[in-house]
Amino acid sequence: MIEKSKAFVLSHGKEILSFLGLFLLGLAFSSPTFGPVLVAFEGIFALLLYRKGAVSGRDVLRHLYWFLPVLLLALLPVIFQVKITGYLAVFLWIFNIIGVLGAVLVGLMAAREEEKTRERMIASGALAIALLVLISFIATLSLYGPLHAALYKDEVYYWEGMAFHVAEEASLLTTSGILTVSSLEYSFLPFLLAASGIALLFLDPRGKRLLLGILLSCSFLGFLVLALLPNVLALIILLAFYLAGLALRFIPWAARTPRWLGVLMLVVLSLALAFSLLILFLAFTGTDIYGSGFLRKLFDNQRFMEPVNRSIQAVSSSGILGFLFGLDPFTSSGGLTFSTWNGGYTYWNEVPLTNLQASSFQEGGILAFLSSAWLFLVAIGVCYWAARDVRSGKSPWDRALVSIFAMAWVLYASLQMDAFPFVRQPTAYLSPTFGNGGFALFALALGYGAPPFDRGLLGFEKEREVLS
Amino acid sequence: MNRRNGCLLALSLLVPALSLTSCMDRVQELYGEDEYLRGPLVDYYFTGRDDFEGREVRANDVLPPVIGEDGYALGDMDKAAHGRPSPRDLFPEWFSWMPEGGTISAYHAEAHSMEQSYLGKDFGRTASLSAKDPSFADGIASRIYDGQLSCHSYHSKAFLNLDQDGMALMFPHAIEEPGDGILMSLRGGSDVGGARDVSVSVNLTLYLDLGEGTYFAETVVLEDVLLHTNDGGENVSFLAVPMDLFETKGPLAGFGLSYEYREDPLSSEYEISAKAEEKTEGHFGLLLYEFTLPGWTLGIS
Repeated sequence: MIEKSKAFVLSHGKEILSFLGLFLLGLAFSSPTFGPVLVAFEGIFALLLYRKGAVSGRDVLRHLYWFLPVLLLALLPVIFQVKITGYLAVFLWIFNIIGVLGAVLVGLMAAREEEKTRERMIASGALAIALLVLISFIATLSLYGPLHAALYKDEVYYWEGMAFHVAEEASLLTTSGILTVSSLEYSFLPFLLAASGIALLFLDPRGKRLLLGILLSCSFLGFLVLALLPNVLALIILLAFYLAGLALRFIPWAARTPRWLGVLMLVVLSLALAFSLLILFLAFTGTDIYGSGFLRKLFDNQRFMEPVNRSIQAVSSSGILGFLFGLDPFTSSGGLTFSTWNGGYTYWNEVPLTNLQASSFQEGGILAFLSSAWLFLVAIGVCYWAARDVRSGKSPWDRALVSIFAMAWVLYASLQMDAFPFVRQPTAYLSPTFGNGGFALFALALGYGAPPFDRGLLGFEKEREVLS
Repeated sequence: MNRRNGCLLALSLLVPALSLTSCMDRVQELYGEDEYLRGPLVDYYFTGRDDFEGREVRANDVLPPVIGEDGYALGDMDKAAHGRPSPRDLFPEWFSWMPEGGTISAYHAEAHSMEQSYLGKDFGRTASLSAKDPSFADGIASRIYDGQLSCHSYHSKAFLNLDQDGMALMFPHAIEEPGDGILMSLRGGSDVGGARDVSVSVNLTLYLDLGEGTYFAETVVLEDVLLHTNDGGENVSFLAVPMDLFETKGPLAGFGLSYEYREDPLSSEYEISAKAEEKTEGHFGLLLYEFTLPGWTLGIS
């Protein structure tokens, strides 16, 4: 029996590593205390997967623009974390850096495995995440029943004398057991599973029916969780995601971008840039967009703009140090003030943190903010090149899946992230990038999905060679 | 897998899933966002709840005994009020209690300063029913089991506003040895007039668990309980009731509280009622912040 088990472990080592790795990261999604430790395991997995010659340090450095924002986001929040948890945070910070670096390397090396191995690793990883999602799903169904976010809207239940909105929470498996968390946090992993399913359009099912079945089931589970909650905004984003995926898969893009499309994209991007600069300008001059009728109309988007505006205002008011290195969460001058809640708890109520960029600014200052904005470009680039390469047969389908996973993480973290997800412990802060399994998953997906290093700057060079 | 096996597998997954959704504990007791919280006092009376209704409850035929002001304690926790004994006079062991092996005092001199309700530090949180047993933390009744002894700017979220008919609450489980006394934190509230002391007579009922779904109800009437009224949410009165006043002993299944609105210095100026159904100029409510059994929660024998 032992011999058999040993043989199984040896012959399926990479699948087991993949399952364990993604299970740990999925578990570290919502575990502020153990998060950095769980994430650090990626460093060990990177060593186990290491093959000489698979990835050279020189290549990574030459293509650092893909990974630099991730590394900066792992490096910068140290002062903020020390302020929250004391000097123990320095050790956790080192753990986190090892983990995030490890995750990038695991991604890079996994992408360079043979096709069969890669497929098995992806299926094992998807099953690990699906297992976590399934446990939380069953726990939530048993406590709240199906569709509770729609059925019990505006209703509260009482716990310890406090009223809680039942529609805004669900049950999630964490390292501290099954906890009551916000429905935003609960939806995160299912959203990633459901969104990644779009990549199956790129998969040729011949001879891969089992793989297709596993991935389709995992993706469907993610969709089912979101639909039975229901998280309407996540479902709408998912719809947009699927439309974009279908466009990338089926619309016959020309080898060279038509001039009219280039001009249109330039106009759209310029408008977006001008809009963003206006937001930054307003915030840095201390203008509250919700204090003016006109600006409120222009930016009336509670979910996204309010936290960005408020956190930039808070950072600006806390002086140059806050601007450079982030906020001190325990001073009211930083914009985050304490309020008593039923006497027994305190929580930060000034800045509604449901946005990766706002959280990053508070944790690591302007560089972290810019890095978190950079993640968008990285994710778009990775997805674009993956879709192009997979369609033209230059890359296998799995690169599309992992790239879409990375894009889904950036989108969800920017729109529905929750920095205070623990309903019963409103002061427990969950950083989106520090000791957060989701961020390490993104780093892993980025390593996996980044265009091959022989491609050249931003993936363009080789394309030009082919055309010429 | 043939079709029959597939069906069996689907069924075997579906049945446990459906049976799980039948529990749905978190959505069993829901309220509207503003229910029992806002509006004129008459609109948020917590009235009509009787957990023992429809159950087999026996009671003595005789009239409940009336207990004068010497039989119970009323004051600001350790200070006597209105010449009555203070809770500290009646139950000194509650106030000298120290946690096992610990040096933190369970009781601070300032009975209801802000920091007193910090979790685990003050008397309220240490001696509250939900601190002793988490099953008391569920439901709206947890407002009076959570150890928050006064307002702390939390206003109506901290108390249950009772009209004369009051309520009867069943505990999540019977308490075998409830200890030697009951401690309540309460005050009066009115939507007319300023600060004053209002006299009420409180009917306190204990429900004893006789087993097999039957209960025994015993009531005592506490005469002339003077309640600080409209004098700020921090100015609560502590009412300590010895268990000896009740003749029957046994596992405690719940309690009931109703009252009669007796004397109000402003009754000549305003028409005030403590009944939800009466349409008067103003209303009075007994605002109950806490109900606890320190003997049970602190483990004092």
